[in-house]
Amino acid sequence: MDSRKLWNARFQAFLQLFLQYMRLILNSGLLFSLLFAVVIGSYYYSLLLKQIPDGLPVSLLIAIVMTYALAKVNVRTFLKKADLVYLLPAEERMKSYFAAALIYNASLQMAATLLIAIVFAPLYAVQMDEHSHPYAMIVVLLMLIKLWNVIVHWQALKLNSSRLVMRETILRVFATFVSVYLLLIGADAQYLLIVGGILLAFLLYAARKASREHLIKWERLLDHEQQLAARFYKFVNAFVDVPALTQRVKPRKWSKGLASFLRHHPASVPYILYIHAFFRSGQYFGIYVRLAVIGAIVLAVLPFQSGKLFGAVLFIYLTAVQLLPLQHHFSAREMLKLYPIDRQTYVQRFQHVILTLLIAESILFFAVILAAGDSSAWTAGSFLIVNFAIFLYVKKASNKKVGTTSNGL
Amino acid sequence: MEKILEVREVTGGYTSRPVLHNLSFDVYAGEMVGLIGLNGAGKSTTIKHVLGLMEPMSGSIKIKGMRCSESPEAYRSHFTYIPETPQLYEELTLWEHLEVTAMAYRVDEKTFKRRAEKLLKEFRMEKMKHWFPNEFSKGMRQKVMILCALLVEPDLYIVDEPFVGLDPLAIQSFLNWMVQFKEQGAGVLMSTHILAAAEQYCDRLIVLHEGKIVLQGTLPELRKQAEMPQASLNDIYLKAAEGAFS
Repeated sequence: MDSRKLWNARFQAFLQLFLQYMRLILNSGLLFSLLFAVVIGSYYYSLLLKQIPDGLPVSLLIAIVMTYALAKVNVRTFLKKADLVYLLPAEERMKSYFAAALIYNASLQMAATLLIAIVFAPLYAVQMDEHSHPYAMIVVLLMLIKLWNVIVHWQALKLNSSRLVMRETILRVFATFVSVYLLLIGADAQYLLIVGGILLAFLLYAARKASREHLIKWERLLDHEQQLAARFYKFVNAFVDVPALTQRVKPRKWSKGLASFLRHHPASVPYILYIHAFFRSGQYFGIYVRLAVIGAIVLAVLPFQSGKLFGAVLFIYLTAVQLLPLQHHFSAREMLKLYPIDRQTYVQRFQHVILTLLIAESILFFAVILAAGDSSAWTAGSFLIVNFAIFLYVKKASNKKVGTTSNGL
Repeated sequence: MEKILEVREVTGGYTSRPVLHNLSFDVYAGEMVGLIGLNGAGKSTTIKHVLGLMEPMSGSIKIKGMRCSESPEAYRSHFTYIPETPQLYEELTLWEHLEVTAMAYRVDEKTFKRRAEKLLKEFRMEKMKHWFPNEFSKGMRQKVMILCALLVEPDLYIVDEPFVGLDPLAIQSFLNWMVQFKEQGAGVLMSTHILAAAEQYCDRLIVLHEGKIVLQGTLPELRKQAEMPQASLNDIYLKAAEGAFS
């Protein structure tokens, strides 16, 4: 068996899936609004750059964000569950498979590093002085630090306990931060060489140790792979329906507390299912909170009345799009279709849940707009009208699917 | 005895080519009917038709005299189903599964709590009451399905291969409960490969082969139909699997 061939086949399959989904995404209108948000964002970014106060530790801020971006390593291996059975005996011969996986992940994440570095370029330029290193050199070195992170983390994934992996991560974050910060403040070449030497030595040591003492931890890799795949599908799910995926469940106590207010009655069943799925599945609640918080911050910062209004509408719409898949969260469960409960009840209850969430979000946004000192009747009125339009859209979208998928679940 | 399930001349399948051919059988109150046959004989497809998840191309299926298409809610309120592969809500704890099931089938709160505590104890799942499905073994997942089905105490139990992954104590508990409910007047339709259990517990047996009922009746009746007077269910089954009676 040539494991390199296997990698190629897996990667091709993923690529094909990816391109298919991308085509669907390009066809949907959401991409346009995201693009629009990027354009607006970059406009305000340039405004922001002009107003940076002198004392602000720009290097430190960039270093913190960059450290997060560099030290966050994802390793997609395209492993499948069945590999634990069929490929486990072939671990020796899987070397070229995993080498290819490493190259794939490293190049993808180095490209992402490049992109982030480009975004930071204007900010870096603001505080440049005669000591600063040229940004092109910094970008290249940042990409090398990313490569270092990927390789070191890959070795760490072979360690026995997740505590050891955690320890390695802390070390990696620290080393990354120090290197990035030294680069940004224009430290002398000899310091950079010393740090670079230490990083290289550590990498060689870790690789040697890992290849001698540790085997591949298949279950951990599979676990990572499934989480990353789930995240990809979650993203795609915002645009098109993706068949149900295995997700990590969070116990969240308040979900139980909320459900305990419900009447003991068949009509409460959809509420219970949707509420627990919303809070615990890890797919919806996190996104909801993030969009609400980011939305509130953006609204507080945007200077113009019309900008605020547009931002509010955009964020409520994005939230609605993210929450709509909740309706079909349980569609793979036959048991649900067997309950003696009317299909229409599910649709109604789902609409109650999603509209409650959206109304809560728009109240928050409205409060932010008011607090920011904009209390004209015009804003309030148009805000209400647009909200109403979004609610109509949600109703229509959740009703529509009754016809297209069986049972409307 | 009251007829609970009536299957009349049902032909059906997934595509235009039928998998089931002209099936007719009944399940009466107070009896357990075993559905046996090789993999692919049509057991699960038969069950899907009874559940109302598939519609027959011709023929009719009635539970308590009512078709699924007349009123799906009323039809489905008469039975619970234990599937071959456990299907759980990953976001709900064991207790919440039971609670949702009780609500869906209109078991009132007090009755629900009484029955649930008793079932949890019997199946030794009390400690796992607030666990989520990802912490369960295959057998425990199957137990959750069984607990949900038993909790409702419906007129009819539809059970698809319940023993896979269960420990011997759980199998015994399950069969004891089935016998108890049967004696109280419930009907049971159970598909299984465990012939020993089928022989011992089922009042009547239906032998499926390639989508047709080849033999049906009590064990003595099967022996007579098969013209194998001394045979065990195992012998008859193997003969049927060879296609001797079709």
